[in-house]
This record gives sequence, C-alpha cells and structure tokens, in this order.
Amino acid sequence: MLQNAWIIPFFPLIAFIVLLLFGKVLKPYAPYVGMVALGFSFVASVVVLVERMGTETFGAAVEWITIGESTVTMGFEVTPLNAMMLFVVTSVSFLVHVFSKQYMREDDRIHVFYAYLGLFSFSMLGLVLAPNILQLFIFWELVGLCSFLLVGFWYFKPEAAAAAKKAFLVTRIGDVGLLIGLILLFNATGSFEYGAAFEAINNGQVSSGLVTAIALCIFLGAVGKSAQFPLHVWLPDAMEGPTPVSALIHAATMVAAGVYLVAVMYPVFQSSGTALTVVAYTGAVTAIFAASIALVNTDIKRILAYSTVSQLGLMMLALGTAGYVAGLFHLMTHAFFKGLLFLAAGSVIYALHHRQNINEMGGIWRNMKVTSVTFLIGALALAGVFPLAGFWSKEGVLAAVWSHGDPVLLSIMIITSFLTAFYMFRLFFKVFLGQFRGDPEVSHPRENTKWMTVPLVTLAALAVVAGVVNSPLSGYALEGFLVEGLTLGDQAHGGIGLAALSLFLSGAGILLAWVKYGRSQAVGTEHSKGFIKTLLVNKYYMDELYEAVVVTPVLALSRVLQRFDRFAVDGTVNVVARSLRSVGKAAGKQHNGQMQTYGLVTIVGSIAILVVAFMVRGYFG
Amino acid sequence: MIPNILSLLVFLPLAGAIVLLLIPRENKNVIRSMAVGTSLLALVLSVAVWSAFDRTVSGMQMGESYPWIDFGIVQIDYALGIDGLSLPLLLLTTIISTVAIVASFTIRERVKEYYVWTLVLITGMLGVFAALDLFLFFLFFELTLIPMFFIIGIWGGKKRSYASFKFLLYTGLGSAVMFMAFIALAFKGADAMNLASATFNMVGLAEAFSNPSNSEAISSTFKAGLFLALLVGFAVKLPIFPLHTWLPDAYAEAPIPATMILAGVLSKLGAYGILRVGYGILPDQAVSFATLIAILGVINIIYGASLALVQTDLRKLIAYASISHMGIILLGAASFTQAGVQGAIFQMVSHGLITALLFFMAGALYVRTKTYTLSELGGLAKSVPVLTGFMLAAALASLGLPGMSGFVSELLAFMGIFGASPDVIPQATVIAVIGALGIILTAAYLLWAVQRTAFGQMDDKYRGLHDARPLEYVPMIGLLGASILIGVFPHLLSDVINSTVIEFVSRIGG
Repeated sequence: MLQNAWIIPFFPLIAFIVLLLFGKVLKPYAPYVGMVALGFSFVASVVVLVERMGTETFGAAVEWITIGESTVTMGFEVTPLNAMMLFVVTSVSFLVHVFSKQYMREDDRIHVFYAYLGLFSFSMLGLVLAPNILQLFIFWELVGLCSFLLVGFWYFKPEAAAAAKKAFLVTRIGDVGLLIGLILLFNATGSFEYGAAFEAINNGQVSSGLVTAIALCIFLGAVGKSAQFPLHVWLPDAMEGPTPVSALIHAATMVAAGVYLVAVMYPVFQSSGTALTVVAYTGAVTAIFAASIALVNTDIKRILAYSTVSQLGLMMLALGTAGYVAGLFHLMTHAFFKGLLFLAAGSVIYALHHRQNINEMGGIWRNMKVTSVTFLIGALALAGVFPLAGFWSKEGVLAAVWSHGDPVLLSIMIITSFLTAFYMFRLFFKVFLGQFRGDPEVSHPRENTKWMTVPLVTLAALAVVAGVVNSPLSGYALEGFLVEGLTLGDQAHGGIGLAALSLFLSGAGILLAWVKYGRSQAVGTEHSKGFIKTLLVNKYYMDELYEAVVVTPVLALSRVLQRFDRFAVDGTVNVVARSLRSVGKAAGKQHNGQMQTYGLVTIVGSIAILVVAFMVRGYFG
Repeated sequence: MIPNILSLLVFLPLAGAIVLLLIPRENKNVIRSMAVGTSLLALVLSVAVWSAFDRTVSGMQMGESYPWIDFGIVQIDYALGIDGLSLPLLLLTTIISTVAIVASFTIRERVKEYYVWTLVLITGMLGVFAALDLFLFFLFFELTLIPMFFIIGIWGGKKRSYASFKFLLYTGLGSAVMFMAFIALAFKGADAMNLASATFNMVGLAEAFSNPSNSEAISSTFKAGLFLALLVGFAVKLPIFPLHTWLPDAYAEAPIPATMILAGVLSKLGAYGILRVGYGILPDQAVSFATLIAILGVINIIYGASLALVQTDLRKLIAYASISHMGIILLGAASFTQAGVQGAIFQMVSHGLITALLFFMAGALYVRTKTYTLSELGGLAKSVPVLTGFMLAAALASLGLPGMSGFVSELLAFMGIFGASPDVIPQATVIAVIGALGIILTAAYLLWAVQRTAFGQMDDKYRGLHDARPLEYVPMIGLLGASILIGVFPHLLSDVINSTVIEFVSRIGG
C-alpha cells in the first residue's frame, strides 16, 4: 500500500471533479459522494499508517520541470510524520463530511460545499504527502484557496466575503516569506527535496547566516498559516464560514500546517539557534495573547478560534524548545478535541438557528445531552484534565519548556494553561448551564440527528483515548515512531511533579470559572468595564493597527501614484501629443484626424530614420 | 514535414484576409466562419511545428532564407527560423488569435473589414516571432501596428479616437527609435565585418557584435547607446514605466477581442524584441544594463499593482495588472540565470493566456451588465455563477496560484533574480524582495475585483441574466485549460525552451 499511497488524495479530488461537473444533478447525493471518497481515503490512510510502522520510508517521484541543468520532481513519500498526519486529516475530514450532511441540509449549494470540501481534502493530503518543499508550497497555496472559498461560501454576506479576502491576503504575507525561503533554500543547496537540502545544510555547505534567513522566511509562512502573532488576525474573522469548515480547516488541519511545516523543516531550524528562539517566543506570545482575548469574547466560535490560535502557539513553543514530539503530539490531540469542540458548537448553533452569542445561550444541557456531554469532554481535554488526550500532550509541551529552562517561556506557559482552563469553562458554563437567556423562539433546542451526534461521539472517544499513544502507558509509542531517522535531543518527559502542576493549573482555572460563572444561576452578561477589559474586548486593537499602518498608507500612496500617473506621466505626453497634432493640422489640408496622424508619425519617423542613416553613414566616413 | 512550413504559417492568415476581401460583405456568417477556419488552420499548423520541433537543438531550426532586396548599399534577406524562445510565442499567438476570433461574435458592424484587419494583424505577429532578418522583423512589427490602430479607432469604445491616436503615436515613435537602432546596427555591423553592403541578418549581426576582434570598429559606448535605443523602442510595446500611459486607454477602448490580442500577444512583441534583438545581438550591454532592467521590472510590478489597487473600472484594473505582470518578465530576463530567462519566457506565455481570459471575462460580464464600473457590479455569482466562476479562476491564475501557469513563471523568475550573480546585479536580493511584495498587492487588487463583481448582495436589475453561452466556453475553457496544463505539467513547455535557454545564458555568462 505504501507504493500506492499517492491514491489517498485522489479520492477526494475525484469527488471534487464529479461534484463540480455534475453537482446540479447529483445535489441530493452530494454528501454521499464526499463521504464515500473520504471513506476510501481514511481506510487507505489507516492501512498506510499500520504498514509504515513495520517498514521504512517509501518515496517516488516524476519529473515536473527542467530548469537549465537541474530537474525538479514531484512525487510523494510516506514518513512516520506524514503517516500520522494522513490519519488525522482523513479521520477528521471524514467526520466533518458526515456532520455536514445535516448541518448544510437547507443550503441550496450543498453540492458546491461538498465539492470544496473535496478539493480541500485533496490539497491537505497532497501537502502532507509532499516529498519536497516546493510541492508542499503548491498544496499549501491550494489549501489557502479552499479556505478562501469556504470562508466565503456564503458570499452574499458582506462579512463573509470580507473575511475570505482577509484570510487569503494575511496568509499571503506569510506565503511570500515561505516562497522566498524555499527559493533561497534551492539556490543555496541545489534542491527542493527535504533530504538533499538537509544534507547540504548539515554538511555546512550553507553559511549560518543564510540558514537563519531561510529558517525565518519559512517560519513566516508558518506564522501566516497557523495564525501566529502578528498574522493571527484572519483566523477569528474566518469564523464567518460554515461551522464544519471551521472545525476541519480552521481548527484541526489547515491551520496546523504551519506547525507541520516547522516540523518537516526541523533540521533547518535545528541548525539555527536564533530561528528556534524566534519560533519559541512567537509561539509563547501568541499563546498567552490569544488566550487573553478568549477570556472576554462573547461569540462561541470566536472564543474557540482564539483558543485555536493559542494552542497553535503552544505547539510552536514546544517545537522552539526542542519538544519536537510534544509539538506534534499536541497537534494530533488538538485536532481531535478542537474538531470536536467546533462541531459541538456547530450542533448548538444549528439548534439555535445560527445564533452565536454566548450571552444569549444557557441551559443547553437540559435539551441537548449528547452535544453537551461531548462538548464537556472536549473542554476537559483542552483544559488538560487527566486522563484525557489534552492532559498528556499539554504535559509534553510543559515538559519541553521546563527542560528548556527559559523562565519567561515557562511563566507564559503556566499562565496560559490557567487561562485556557478558565476561558473554556467560562464558555461551557455560560452556554450549557444556568437558564436560557436568548430568543424565546429557540428556548427549547432539540438534540440533532445521528448525522451530527455520531461524529461528536467518535471525536469525543478520540479526545479521551488519543493521549495514550504518547504516555507512559504505551511506553511513549508515538515518540518512538516519530523520531525515526531524525537527530533530535532527548525528548523531555514530565514526572509526577509536572503532572501535578499541570493538573493544579487546570483545576484552578475551572474552579475560578465556576465561581464566576457556574455557581450562580444568573450567569448573565459581564458588566465590569476597565482599561484591560476594553483592551481585550477590542483584541488589542490589532485590526485597527493594521488598518492605520498598512491598509490606509498603501491606498493613500496608490492614490498619489494615480494622480502622478494621470497628471505627470500622461499629462506630459498629452501636451506633446496636442502640440504635434496642431502642427499636423496646420500642415495638412484635409482635416481627417486619424489618417493624418498616422501620416504624421510615419513622416516624423521616416525623417528620423533618414537623419540617423545619414549620420551613421557619415560617421563611417 | 511540410517544406517552408513557417512561411505557410505566417502568411496563411494574410491569405485568409485576401480571400475575405472577395466575399460580399452581407455574408456575415460566411465571413465569420472563414475567419474562424483560417485561425484554426493556423493553430493546427503551429501545433504541427511544435511537434516537429527538435528539443535538443539550441539554435535556429526550420530555417528559410532567400536573398530578397538588394539596394547596393543594403542587402535584405527574407529569412525565417525559430528556436525555443520563438516557438512558444508562435503557439501563443495562434491560440490567442483563435479564441479572440471566436470571441468576436460580439462585433456587429463592418464585420468584413474587422476580420480582414484582424487576420492581417495575426500575420504581423507571427512574422515578428519567426523573422530572422531585422528589416523583415521591422516590417512585420509595423504590420501589427496599422491593423490595431484601425480596430481600436473603428470598433472601439467612446474614447476610441483618443485611444487609437495615443496608441499610434506611442508605438509609432517607439518603432521609429527601434528602426533607427536597426539601421545603425546594420551599417555598423557591415563596417565591422568589412562587408560592401549593410546586412540585417540577425545571426550575422550577433556574431559581428560579439566578436572581440571587432572591438575597435565598434566602440562599447556606441553599443551601449544602441542597446538603450532598442530598450526604449521595445519598452513602449511592453510597456515599461514611464512609457505605459497609452496602455490603459488602448486596453479600455479597444473591442474586447482586440484587447485580448493586444494584452495577450502584442505586449510580448516588446519583450521578445528585447530578448531576441537586444540580448541576442548585444549580450554584453544587456549584462551591463541588467541592474537597470531589474529596477525597471520592480517599478513596473509595484507601480502597476499600486495603480490597479485604486482603479474603479474593471478593464483599467486588468490593464494596470498587465503592466505589473510585465515586470516579472523583466526581472527574470535581467537575472541572466537559466531559471530567470526561462521564467521570462514562461511569463510571456502565461500572461498572454491569463490576461486574455481576464479581459474576455470582463467583456462577457459587460455584455450582460452594460458596465465596467466596479461599484455598479456585485453579487453576480448569484445570477451568472459559471461566468463568475471562470472570472475567479482567471483572477487566481493571475495572482499566481499554483496549479496554473502564472505560479510557474513567477517561481522561475524569482528563482532567477534571487540567484542572480552579484557581478550582474549587485543588490539582487533587495530588488527581488521588493518585487515579491508585488505578489501580495496582486492578490489584494484581484480579490477585491472579484469581490466587487461576484460577491456581496446582487442588485435586482441583474436578476435573470443569461449565464455562459456555448460559444463563450471556447475562450474560457481554451485559455484556462492551457494555463492549468502548463501549471500542472510545466515540462511540456520547459522541454521546448530549455536548450535555447541554456545556450542563451551560457553565451551571456561566457
């Protein structure tokens, strides 16, 4: 099967093409087309993963383009890392396909929605299977396109259209960095292939300054895609897309591609201490920054979005502090529990007829048991409560940061852990406990059908057990699998002490949330207003800052240039033209403008030609 | 292989034009079918040339050469031939011409004249790409100018008179400068080779000017002056800032099929001229002006993109985008690397396909909405989802989305400029990074344009518009398909170009 792993992305691609061409006819069956395709991909991924555990990395490639003397190839390879990713992507994608059947039921363009989901799955799987950074970049851009299409799926809503554009543009800033990085890498090492490029770097063929530059350029791409500070601003807005999309693209898979990128390019980062430090600090700042905004936000999806930003920051922090396995382990568990949280949120939103303000929710627990319980499991996992998946992976990150020894990073990690538990349970208590405070029309939401609850239960099960794979219970099996072929330092493991610290932080956060929002029945609107609260509610004014520092000046400059173009450049020409024309009119007897003009130009041209010919001839002597 | 296949290809459209003259003007359908048939035949011929082309040969092939005019002091040959630089452009020309002629069903007045001019124009373009004699090159170059002047002036929009005048003035003067340089090249070259009469033969001139033993006969100052004159002459066509202001008017006023040809092929004549004549005959001067060309390229990229950002008219927006994308060609060419030169050629082809598609889409929307003003459009995805879908695809291709040709050419051009030797371009990295910022601006204005036309709320007056018609699928699928084909399988194109590029760069480097 490893030899045929290339087929995994092609199932959803076929679904995309079929739905694109015959979507109108197939509309009622569109969800099944998508589900079947992803079903095949999932099964194939499981086979590949199992098979990969027993064998070695397999790769194959064909010629893509010849550039002078060098040839660039495209192909695929199956490494431990991407075998794991295949499993994560296909499983979450399949469940989202199932979930969407109900969620998107009323939408007239459901076939388009499933077509886009297929294109996304193809692109994401292609990204994961890529054996070289150029191919990764190609699919990297395609997942960005799918994100654009799906965020803007409800294109008639101005907010959705604006959010789609914003998502594409902000990530494109990072993409330009990545593009420059891969070009520099190619020019320095002569190859886009991971193996060959790493070898050249390890052999010292590339100066350390250039390695740092390459690593930072590549990291810029990761910052954009994984919504790290300061390019995180697109992700919360991307919540304008349908909620299953948020679960798949903006929680579980695409946004994790930045983390995956750093992991794939890890040997480059290892060769530059500066780059690793930048990764660690960017991740840490992002983690605490986004968590703090999540404390006060009132939109169920945006809270989860900021939480995603924050958790992606923790993954980066782990990678930056030599916690390679910890970062990737957290990527995996996060995909499951954050996918779960988004889908459960989607279940609530669907039942409430697309209302998202948590101040207008409450008491959902009584009416939607499956959704509530699965959401609670997701929240506990995210908060890092034993023995759920998030506990093990967050502890891994904590251990990496601890053994790295930087007190600033450690403090940020500790505070973020506490904040995470607090905002998640603020969210949980406000949505699921207390009395319903919203529109009386929807005060008795009903639990959704099996199409929605089965994916929730499945993901909840994964959120419970997935942590085992890298715990002492399994002898850190995932670590043994992932480190194959890599030169990594010892991966830090937390002892009882760190586990206790981690649990204490989670417990404290949940307890405080209970005191503030859970205990009393009147879990209503928060009233306190203060400088910090205002700052947080306005998301540190980042959007306004970009508007003032980037958008406005660029547009102003462009308008100035337009005036310059019209009056200075074109104006000069028009003056010359007008005087020439009047000369022409004065000289000509007929006043047939255009013909005369051509005659004039020809005459002027010919005279000039003759003059030059004469001069050159004379010059010849 | 058919003998003299290049001549056949070049003059086929002209022959078609002559036949059209014999058909009574009332038989519009016969005229249309004849024109489409002629362009299709030319397309088939060019595909035959493509498949017969020997990919391992770096020099000229399929050559034809006959003595033509002998003025005593001047000897002019009829010489045609192609290499990896000209072949892709020949095929581009026949593709764009065919879809443009198919797209001309919107032309309703003076149909016969319109097609005659268009076919003459096609012969002119094909001739430029196949000519190996500078004088012949010039004649074909001029042969593109006159038909386009009439097409804009007669079938253009409201400001057609102004636009055609401006087009003519600019490109005519550009040609004059170019021709002066040609004359100087010919006479000086003859002098250096001790010939009795001047020759316009490109291959012979290239040898004369690069031969070190002629360094006394031809001073480097003179050569530098010549190179600059060529650059200026061709810059108008490309166009290069600040010689570009004819373009937005011409592109916005010409009928859509003519704009497709203008933006798709005619702009490439300038780039081709710089590479073929400037780089081909004066490689050392090209190297010494590499920094200038790279800087001009970056100015084009950023300036064009900035202006595109604030346009309120869809066609002008695409026009400025076109200026911006021409900068990529300059950047790649300036780098003197294999990747860069190949990127420049890729970009010529890619931009030709994509910009023609963009203009076609703008025109297709105009036919339905009667406006190009962005603020009057919006929400069209609801009434014409297929057209707006292709519009989005064209915009994505234009902004360099992988999987389509624009990405490959941008990648190659930037690989080239980042890899440029410091001896050729001292601060290449700085120039390259500034150029790369253009990638972000490009995405901004194109997505904005799509958002303003396709997304948002739809005005009620656009309810019930007719979506794509069968004939419209020909340009849409043809152009987008070609762009995707190159984007997914770029070796289809690189195989043809590569030998020539290797030779081209080694000559400059060595």
